[in-house]
Amino acid sequence: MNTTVFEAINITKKYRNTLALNQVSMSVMQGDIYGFIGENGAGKTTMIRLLTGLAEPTTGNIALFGKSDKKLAKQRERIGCIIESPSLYLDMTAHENLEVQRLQRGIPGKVCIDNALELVNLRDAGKKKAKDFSLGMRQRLALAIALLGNPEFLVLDEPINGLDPTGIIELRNLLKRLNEERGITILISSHILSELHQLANRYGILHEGKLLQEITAAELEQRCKKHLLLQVNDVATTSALLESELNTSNFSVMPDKSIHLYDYVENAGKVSALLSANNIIIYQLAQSGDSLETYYTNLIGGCKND
Amino acid sequence: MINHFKAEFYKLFRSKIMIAILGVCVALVMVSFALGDMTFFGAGDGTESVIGFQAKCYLSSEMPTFQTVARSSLAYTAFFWIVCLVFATIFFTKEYNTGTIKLSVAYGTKRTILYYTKAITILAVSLITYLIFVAAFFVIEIIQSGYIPSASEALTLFGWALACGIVLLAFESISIFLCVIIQNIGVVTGICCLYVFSGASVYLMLWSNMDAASIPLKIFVYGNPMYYWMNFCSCRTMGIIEHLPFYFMGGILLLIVGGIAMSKKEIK
Repeated sequence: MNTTVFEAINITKKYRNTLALNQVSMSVMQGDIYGFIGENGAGKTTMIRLLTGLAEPTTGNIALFGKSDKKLAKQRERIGCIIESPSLYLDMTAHENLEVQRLQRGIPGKVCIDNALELVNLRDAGKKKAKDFSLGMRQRLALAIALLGNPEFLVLDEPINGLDPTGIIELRNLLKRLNEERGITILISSHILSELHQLANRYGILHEGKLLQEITAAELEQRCKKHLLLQVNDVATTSALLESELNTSNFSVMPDKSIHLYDYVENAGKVSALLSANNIIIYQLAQSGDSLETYYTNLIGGCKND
Repeated sequence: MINHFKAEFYKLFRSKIMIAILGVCVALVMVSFALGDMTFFGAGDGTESVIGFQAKCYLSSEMPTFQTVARSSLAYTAFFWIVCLVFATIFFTKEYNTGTIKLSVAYGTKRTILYYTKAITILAVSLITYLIFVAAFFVIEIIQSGYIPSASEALTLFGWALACGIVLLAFESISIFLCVIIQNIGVVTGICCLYVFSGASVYLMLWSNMDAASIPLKIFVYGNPMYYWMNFCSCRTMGIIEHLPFYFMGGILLLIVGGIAMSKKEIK
């Protein structure tokens, strides 16, 4: 059974005159890699801060592993997180940083430290202090801290920031591996949508404090897939013609009565000729299909400088 | 909670702040050696009722007394308090500056547990190092003056040092409370230094005529560490020691208020 790891119910968070989150309801299911998308100030970090207990919601309820209110603190022992920027003791080495966290969280044995450093390729950091680390190394160390104690749920706020291309690929592969092999549920927020596109299997799109959409990767794929967009006067006849004359059933009739035809994308003339020959009135015939970026931009109503 | 104490001490012994404190203490001892020529500095009429900072307090280097040895041993206390103030503010607010406090909260630790383990660690380390600091000076003074104290005299000095230590705990509790409210090392240290040095100035102005002072001024003086240090370092406890429990309880009360504020406050 697919259980809910994190659930936010009608969350509103108000800071004086600013409404950071407005009636947001979302859920992360076990095994998900949930991509949290939104521009700066959309409310992603606020939601993560509420999830991790750094702030309290003005109204609404949060549940972790099915538990809420006073039982939340105990459930937070089951998560690993990076919030905003890597939180490190800069005058300590990578090993010492992990040792502090190990002691504080009462994790037995020091083997877990070496394992976590191994996972993020920081075993060779040696006696180098965290203050001398590159931003990418700091991100990796923060991830090692998050992985300490085998969390069931990883909450990563902009973990890709500062990573070089190789680091991004390594992180992506690591997160995929953790998700597949250990079944770790992951909530990851990022501005780099193309990166999220390669990683997440569910998305939550947040804009100006409101959750615009929760969508699975399959649904998104379907919506972003290149297709011919057909608006006609007779949907039933058109569907029949596509099947009988063009030998394709690779199309969908959308709720707004438009047809998305996924074949003949580069041969719109043939479709147009067929429909015209059968007295179908074509209101619209166009190539369509988005990248995640354009899908997101269209959803939030375009770029601000448009 | 034991885990948190272990983590606090681990952080403490791996941070430069502990080395810095020890360095300042050693530097103060060195100053004592450099200026250790039994000179008499004083104010007023040079009697036992003299108040004020005296690096060396011997009325006569030929005939040192226990009181002058004790006074010299306690003379550097105020410097140490300032060192402790800096230690407390840095050690407390560092977690906010580095953001590591967020991780502790995110992993389900109650904020009050985080607060009290850190506060208790700071207070315990400060008190113990202060007592060691006074003991070190006592030994130096014995060597320099040649005065051999009896066991009861050593115990008396220990009592005075403990009283000063309690003042230190109250003072640090106030600074920790300010750290929770302000979370800025510079501002907290500035306010505390102002509080300490203005206390010394006001007390020096009022001490000969304390009875005539207004109640707010009296509260300010009795609630100031310099009032206690100036008197304990002059071996004056009568009429002073009874104010100490109120000062200590006031400090502890602020520490508790800080804990409540910490549990309510958002962590940024």
